[in-house]
Amino acid sequence: MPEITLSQAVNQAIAEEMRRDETVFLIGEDVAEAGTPFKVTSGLVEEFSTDRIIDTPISEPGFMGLAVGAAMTGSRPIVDLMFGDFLFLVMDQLCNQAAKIHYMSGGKLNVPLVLRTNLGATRRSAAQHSQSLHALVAHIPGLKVAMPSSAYEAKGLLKTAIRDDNPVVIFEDKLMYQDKAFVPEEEYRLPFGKAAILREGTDVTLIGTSSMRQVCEKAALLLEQDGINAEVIDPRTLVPLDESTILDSVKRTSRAIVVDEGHQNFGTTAEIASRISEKAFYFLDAPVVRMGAMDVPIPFSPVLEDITVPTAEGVADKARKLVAGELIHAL
Amino acid sequence: MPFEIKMPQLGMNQDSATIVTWLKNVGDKVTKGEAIFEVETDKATMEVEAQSEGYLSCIQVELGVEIPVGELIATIVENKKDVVKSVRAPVLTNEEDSKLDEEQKSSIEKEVAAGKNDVPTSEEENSSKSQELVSPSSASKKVLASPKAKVIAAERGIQVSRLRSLGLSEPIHASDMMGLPVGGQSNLMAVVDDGLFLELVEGSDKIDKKTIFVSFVRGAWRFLFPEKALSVQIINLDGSVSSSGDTDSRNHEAPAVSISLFDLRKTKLFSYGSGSSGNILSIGHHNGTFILNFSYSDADIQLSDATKLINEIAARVENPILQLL
Repeated sequence: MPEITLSQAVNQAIAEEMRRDETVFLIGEDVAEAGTPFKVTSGLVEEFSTDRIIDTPISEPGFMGLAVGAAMTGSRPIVDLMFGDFLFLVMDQLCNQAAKIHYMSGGKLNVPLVLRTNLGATRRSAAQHSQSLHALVAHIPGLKVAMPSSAYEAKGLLKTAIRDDNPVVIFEDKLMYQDKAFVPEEEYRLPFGKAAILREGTDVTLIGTSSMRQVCEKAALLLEQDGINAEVIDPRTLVPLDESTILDSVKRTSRAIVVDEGHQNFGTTAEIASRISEKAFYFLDAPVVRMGAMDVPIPFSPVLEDITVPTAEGVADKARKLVAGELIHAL
Repeated sequence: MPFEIKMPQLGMNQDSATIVTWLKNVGDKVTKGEAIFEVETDKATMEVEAQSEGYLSCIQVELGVEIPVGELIATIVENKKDVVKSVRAPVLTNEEDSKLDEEQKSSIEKEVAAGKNDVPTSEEENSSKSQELVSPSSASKKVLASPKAKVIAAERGIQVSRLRSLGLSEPIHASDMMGLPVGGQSNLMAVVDDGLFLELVEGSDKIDKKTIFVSFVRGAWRFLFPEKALSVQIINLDGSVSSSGDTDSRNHEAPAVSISLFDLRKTKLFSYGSGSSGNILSIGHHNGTFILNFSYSDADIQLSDATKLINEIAARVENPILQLL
């Protein structure tokens, strides 16, 4: 099994699906010759020409609307949104149109569209290019949301997304594009709504999405030194969410920390934590802890930026307190 | 000029508090900074110090009653001769006590008792912060236990409100519950003819009659469960304990099962059992028979073992020679 970067995995997934299905095309800013700022789509234009790898002007609402129309009329567009922060520009096309058309047409129209974008801070890109906004779209019924946490997930989930007849938003961590993982050469797809247990444990469940999976895995190693056995779960998709894997785990460990890079307030961590509290309440031996990004605009200052996101040390510290039975919140 | 002691504001949004204990009596000398009473707000309990030196005088308020912030509580006077007896709630000196009408007295006693009982039983492990959270004010309130700990308590038939009295530090977690006995309590009774016992034991000078039943229990236990440790104690009728020697000295890995003996032979009582925990064997004497009543905790002893044990003890009471064999 070759080891490839997350960026190469995405590239392979797009190429394979475009070869398989000629209705698939890629559209976005700087996707052709430039291959995006992260060089994810480099080389695709040589194989598929500018007919199917389409550069657009800087006009996110325009090409997003175009893609929704194309998806309604038989194509399977992959939209490349250069930064997740630009989601705000395509909100109407995505949330009011793409998400609702299947429902409002009485099932007569499908919108088989993939919006590929990214998340993640600590790249020194300041407040408008560092946000993790997946919770915004996960909130909207009619949209699926995938959060790959390595090259393996990135390829498997993207291929599933492209073949899905519903709009899917897929968030890649922009800091992980060069991270390598083993990816099978043969065809594979990862199902939506199926979480991965990356490490089995008995004392506390660490649930980490996307970039925070690595944070949780590192935290588990730190905790191992203290004799604490942490289970690490990557939900892989937020919508649909694999509730049963998470609940089964928490019922075994009685403790949970949900870690996600989106802002903590009203976010992904809150949603998962509340489902645990609702559905595994009688199994809990400690409060369910949320750890999201600090609720501030992401600072440009590297020193400040680094403290806005959860760290392995921070997660391990919280886990130790839960296992020790410390009172987490004052009454 | 007497100094007025008023109810202090102890928190931002606190508008009243309750005096739970007086630490000084009327007429006592107080120095500045010395604690004179203890108040309880909805958040915490704390001591209030004297702001001036003198003698405590003229207490205006009752224990256990909500007093608005700023209300006059008592005064501190400069000279002992200016001390005025309390207008209402007298303090804890005997001479004051005697002047109380019974109702007032009992209400004060209740308060004092409640105050004493509220001291949490084990708090060494808590940080100072959590100590504050489970200290007296909250002690009378809800027991802090995790949902899982509560489920375990329910499964074992232990009321959550009892967990505090078992000495667990709060918040209580599932792991704290592991060492607790299960809640079930069972009862067995045996009736034994007293003829041979009276003849052999009561008639003998060499047998220590006080501990003969302890010997029977130990002997029966050793005969049936040689691998398990046992400790036996005699509970006197006034509740005091006379220990009958230490736990069986042989090495046992599991902690000893403890059995308490109630000797009711010289009384008209013939049986005693406890609804809570513990293993109690009472021995009554009535109409030519001994009545052995064994109230035991299911967590310590299984039914099959308990029946064997009581049968064996009964046999020894019936025929004390068995004990010698």
